[in-house]
Amino acid sequence: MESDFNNVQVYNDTLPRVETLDFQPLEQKYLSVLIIGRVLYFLITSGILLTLYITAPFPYPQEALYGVIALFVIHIIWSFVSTIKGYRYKSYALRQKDIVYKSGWLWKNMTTAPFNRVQHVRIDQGPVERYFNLSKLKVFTAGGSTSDMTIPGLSPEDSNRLKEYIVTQSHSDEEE
Amino acid sequence: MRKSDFDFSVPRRQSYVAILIISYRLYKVIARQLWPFLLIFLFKGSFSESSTFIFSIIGIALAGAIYSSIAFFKYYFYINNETLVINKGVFQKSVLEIPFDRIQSINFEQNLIHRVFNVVKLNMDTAGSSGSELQLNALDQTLATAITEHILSNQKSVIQNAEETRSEGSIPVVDNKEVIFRLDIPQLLKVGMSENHLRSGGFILLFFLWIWDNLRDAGVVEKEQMEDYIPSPEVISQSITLMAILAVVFFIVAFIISLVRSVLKYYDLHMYRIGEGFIIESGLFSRKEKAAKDVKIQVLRWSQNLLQRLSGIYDLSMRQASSVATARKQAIQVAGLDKQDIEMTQRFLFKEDYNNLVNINFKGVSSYFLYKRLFRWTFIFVPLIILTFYIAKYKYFYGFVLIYLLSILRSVLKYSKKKYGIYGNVIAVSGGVFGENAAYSLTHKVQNISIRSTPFQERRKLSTLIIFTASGLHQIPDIATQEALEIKNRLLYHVERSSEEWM
Repeated sequence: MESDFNNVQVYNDTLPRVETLDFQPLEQKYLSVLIIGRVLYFLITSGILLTLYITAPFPYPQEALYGVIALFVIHIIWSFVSTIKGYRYKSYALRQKDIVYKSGWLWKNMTTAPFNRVQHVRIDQGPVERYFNLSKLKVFTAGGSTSDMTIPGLSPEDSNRLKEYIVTQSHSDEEE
Repeated sequence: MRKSDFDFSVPRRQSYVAILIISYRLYKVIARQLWPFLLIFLFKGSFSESSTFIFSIIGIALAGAIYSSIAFFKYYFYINNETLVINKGVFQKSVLEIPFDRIQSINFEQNLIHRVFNVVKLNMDTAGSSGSELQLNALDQTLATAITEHILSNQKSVIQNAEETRSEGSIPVVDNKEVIFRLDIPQLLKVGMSENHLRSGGFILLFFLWIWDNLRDAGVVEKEQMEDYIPSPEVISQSITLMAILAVVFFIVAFIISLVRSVLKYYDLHMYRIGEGFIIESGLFSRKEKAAKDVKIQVLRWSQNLLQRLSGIYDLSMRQASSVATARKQAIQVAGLDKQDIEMTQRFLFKEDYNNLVNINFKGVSSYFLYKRLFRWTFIFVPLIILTFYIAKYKYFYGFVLIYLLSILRSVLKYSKKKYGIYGNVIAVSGGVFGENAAYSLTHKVQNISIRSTPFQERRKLSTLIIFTASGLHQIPDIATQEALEIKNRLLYHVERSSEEWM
C-alpha cells in the first residue's frame, strides 16, 4: 500500500533542493504600489502630528521637539529604504509539486506550500493595485492564518495562470 | 424503545428539557454581560431603587423564558435522503442541511441538568469552515443513540462504496470500545496536587484585579484613598506580617482551586480505543465525551511540570484538525498517565512508525539560543542591579539579583532541553524549563514549511524552521541554515510523495 515507500532510505544529496531554484521577481510596478502606500501612510501620520502640534501646545523644551522631528524623519527614511530593499527580496518560484515564496531584506522568510495540501487559492486586488493593474495571489493551506502565503505584485494574467496551475496540480494529486 | 421504532423522516422537536437548557444558557449570557451592574446595585443600591431592580430582574427572566420556549418550539429536525435537516429561528428562520458524509464526528455531552433528566447533548463536527458545527441541546438518550447509529450506518455505506476502508468504524459507535486507560481516585488526587498552582494563583489575582477595577470605575472604591496614604514604620512591620499571612492563604486557596478544578474536569476519566480512534470520557458534574480519529490527530503532545515529574505522571493532548473556530475545543486532554500509557498511545497512533521512535536521534539547537537569552537578561537587569546598588535601594537590589539569576537558570535549562529529531515518518520536538514536554507529528501531516532568519541569525548562518500542521506548529529555533534546508527538503519530499490522508 501507500506505506511501502516509507522505509525507502533517502539520501539528502539526492533530494530536490529549494535553495537552488531560480526565483521569479515581482512586477516592477509593484514597487510603485509599495511606495505609494508608504507615502499615504506618512501623509496621514504627519497630518495627525501637525494638527496635534497646532491644537495643543507642546509642553516640553524646544530641544525635545527637534528630537521628535529627527526621530520621525529617521523613521521615514528607514521605512523607505527597507521598503525598496525589501521589494527586491520578494520573489517566488514554482515547482512541479509546490510553490515557494521568499521575502525579507533583514528579517528573511521563505515559505513552501505543497500543492497536495492547498485548500484553495484566491486572487485579490486593492484600489492602488487596480490602478497599476496588479493583483495578489493568496494560497491557503490548513496550516492556519499565520502560514497562509500571499504573493503580491503579479500581473492579472500571471496570477490567473498561477491559480490555474496550482488548482490543476492539487487536483491531479488527489486522483493519483 | 428500539431504534427501529423511530421514524427519522418525521420532523420532531428536542426533548422538553431543551427549554430549560436554552434558558439556562441565555441567563448565563445575560448574567455575564450584566454582572458589573449587579455589583454596583448591591454596593450602592438604596431601598427606593431595590424594587425597580427586582422587577427588572423578573422582567428579564420572563422575557428569557418566553424567548427560550419560542426557540424550542421553532426548532425541528428530521432526516431526509441521508441529510440531517434542521429548521430553526425565532426572528429569522433558517434551514440547515447537513449531508451525513460531511459529519466528521458525533460527541455526547451531559452536564448536571442533562443527567437529572437523562438526556444528552449531541455535538456534531462537520468538515468545513467555522460555524458549521452543530448542536442538539437535549435528546432522549435512546433517541440520541438511535440517530447516531442511523447516521453512522448510512455513512459507512458511502465510505465503503468509495473503498476507503481506513475510515471504517472510525467514528465513535456506542458499543465495542476497549478501555485503555482509566484514572482512579488516588491517581486523580495526584493529578490535582501536581497541577501548576501558580497558574491558578494567577487566575485568582487577575479575577480580584478585575473586580477591583470594576468597583473603582463604578466609584465604589475611592481612588485617592490609596494614594495619599503614608505608612508609619509600625504599620509597615505589621503589614509585612499581614503580607506573609496573605501569601500563605493565597497559596492554599490556589492549591485548593487547582485541586477542585482537576477533580471536576478529570473525575472518573476513561480513555477508550475504538476502531481507529480514541474516546475520552470524564467529568464530575458535567460529563464530557470527546472522540478523535487517528487520521484527524495532527500533533501528539505530552508534558510534565516539575511536580508531575516528581510524581511520574504526564499530561497528554491530542490536537485534531478541524475548522478554525473550533480548533481550541478540538484538543483532547488526558491527565495522570504514566510512561507506559504514553508509549501505548504512541503505538496506537503511529502504528508501524512506532518502532522508529527509538531511532530518533535528538539534536540540540545552536548555543546562540542560549547566548541570545543571556544577553537579553543581562542587558535588562545588570544596569538595574548596578543602579539600585549605587543608590542604596537594597530591597530592590536583592530582588533584581534574584530575578536575574532565575532568568539565567531558566535560559540554561531551556537551552539544554530544547531538542529535535526526525526519523522515518516522525517529527519530534522536545523542550521545557523545569518540566519537560514533547510534541510528535507524522510527516504527512505537514501543511507547509517556513524558514525564517533575523539579521543576527543570518550572520551566524542560523535559521528558525517552522513546520505547520493543521492544528498547531513545530518550531525549531536557531539551527544551522543548511540543516534547516535539508530538513525542509526531506519533509517536502515526504509530503509531496505521500498519498495518505492527512485528515
